[in-house]
Amino acid sequence: MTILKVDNLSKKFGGLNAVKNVSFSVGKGEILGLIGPNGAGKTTCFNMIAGVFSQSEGKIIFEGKEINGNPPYVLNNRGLARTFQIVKPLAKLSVFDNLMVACLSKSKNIKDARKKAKEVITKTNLEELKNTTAGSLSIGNLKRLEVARALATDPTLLLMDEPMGGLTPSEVDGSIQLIKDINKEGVTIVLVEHIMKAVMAVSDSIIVLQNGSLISKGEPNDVVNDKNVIKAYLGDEYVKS
Amino acid sequence: MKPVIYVMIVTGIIAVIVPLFADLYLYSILTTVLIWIMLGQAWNLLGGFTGQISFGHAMFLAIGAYSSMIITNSLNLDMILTLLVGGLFAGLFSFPLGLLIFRLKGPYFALATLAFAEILHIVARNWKGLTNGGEGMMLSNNATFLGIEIFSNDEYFFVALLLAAIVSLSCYYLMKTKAGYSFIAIRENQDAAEAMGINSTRTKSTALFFSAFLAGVAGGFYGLYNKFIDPEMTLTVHMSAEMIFVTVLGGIGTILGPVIGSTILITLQEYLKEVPMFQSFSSLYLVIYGLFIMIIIVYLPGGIIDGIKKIRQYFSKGGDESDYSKSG
Repeated sequence: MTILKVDNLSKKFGGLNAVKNVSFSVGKGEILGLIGPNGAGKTTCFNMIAGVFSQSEGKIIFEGKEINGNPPYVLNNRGLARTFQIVKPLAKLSVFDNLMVACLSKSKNIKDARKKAKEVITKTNLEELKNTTAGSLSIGNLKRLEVARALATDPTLLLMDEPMGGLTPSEVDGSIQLIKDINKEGVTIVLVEHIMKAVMAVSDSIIVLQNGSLISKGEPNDVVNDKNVIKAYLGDEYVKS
Repeated sequence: MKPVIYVMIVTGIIAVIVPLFADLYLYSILTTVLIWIMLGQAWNLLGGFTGQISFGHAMFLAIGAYSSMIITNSLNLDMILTLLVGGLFAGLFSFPLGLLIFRLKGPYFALATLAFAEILHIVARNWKGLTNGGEGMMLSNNATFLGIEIFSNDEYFFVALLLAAIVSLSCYYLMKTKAGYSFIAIRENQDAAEAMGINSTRTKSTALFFSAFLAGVAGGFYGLYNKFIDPEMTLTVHMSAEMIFVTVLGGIGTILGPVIGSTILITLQEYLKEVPMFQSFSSLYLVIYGLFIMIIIVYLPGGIIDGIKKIRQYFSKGGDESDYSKSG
């Protein structure tokens, strides 16, 4: 069953075509890796799905309904959560209160939200930091907090924008495990990531963007051997004839 | 101890102790402090907790003040009802205002609030049929509080004490609700708040409504207490700025901030006015007053509350479960 369908999506910023006729779909419970070189249009594509940008052309269908033009808070209330490439913590609040804010959007009262926040904090291994001010966390923990906050809103689809950017190798391993655990609970994930080890480890399928266009899609092993992908990342000379 | 009990005890102690030594002059200073506590709490909801800095909050004070004055003069309703209606008018005015100004962010928002307050100032000076223009409006009936007629400074002091306690507690409990958490989220990061399902426009409008309502209530009391209002007493930039000063000096985004800020600033202002040296130059005390505010802002950007917190942290390193609303 398809949870997200993107149909001929395009975005123009003045004369620049940041995303050109991109189409793909994500099945329920799947992890889709969205990769491409810098400036390929991944985050723009992501921001259109998350309701930050409106698309110039095309359709976005989430759980069978068109979501074109819906603002982020409406999409979140419908089960579509996201994390940010550049983390956006509620810096003066503690980790726990960051999660309280997220939990309250779905909880009936403070007591329920508190219970839910405690659950999420355990799930994402943030217990030891629950009283720490978010603004003083390391980048690894901030990325973890981003994921925790998104999870606290009970999403069915989670859009993760470079959740491993800037992490140490051991933090990357922890993050990979966290993504797998989240997915096991039935959350569909669209993952934008530059760390190929992580993308290969978690993705059921991958799509590749270059200069705003979709150049390849399929299973991870097929995509990494695709000539177009090798050319996009490494150049013509690395393509075996 | 629950905050409501704590506030009741403190309020009770003040109500018992002050009459033992206070004269009418002291009552007037204390009542002024309590009015500024209410106004500071009102401004703090929008500016401190929601991060929407308003330079024109005097407009809500004025709406409350004029409404209460007109209602008391013409209908002579009980003060509770009068203040609630005044607050409600101010709150209702905030809705169309919010629609217009919440499109703006940062300094543009602040300037828009200032501009609206100036527009209202001009309206109040020229709409003589309603406000009596620059000549101002006298209170022609004595106000009654729960059926008891009140007139003198000491009587107004007790009502102000009760109102300031109620306003501060209301703000405290509001900040413990879902709306309160949303206010803070918008202040901290609007994009992140929206991504967590918070409707930023609705949240900011809610904060503006409560803030305007409380400023209207406080403004209503301010008008009745002074028994006279005119545009210069209610709608000047000075009034809006003073709301910011008492909050920032005490501790922006905290419940105790406006309490501490108002107590120190209003007392200082009154003290400086009485210093013989400053009486020869009528506005010289404002220079000292301004310098004091500048020093606090430079050295304690989080206000006096922040200073107290830093001292406490210095003497005892440790912590308990964090909660933003415990910060005052």
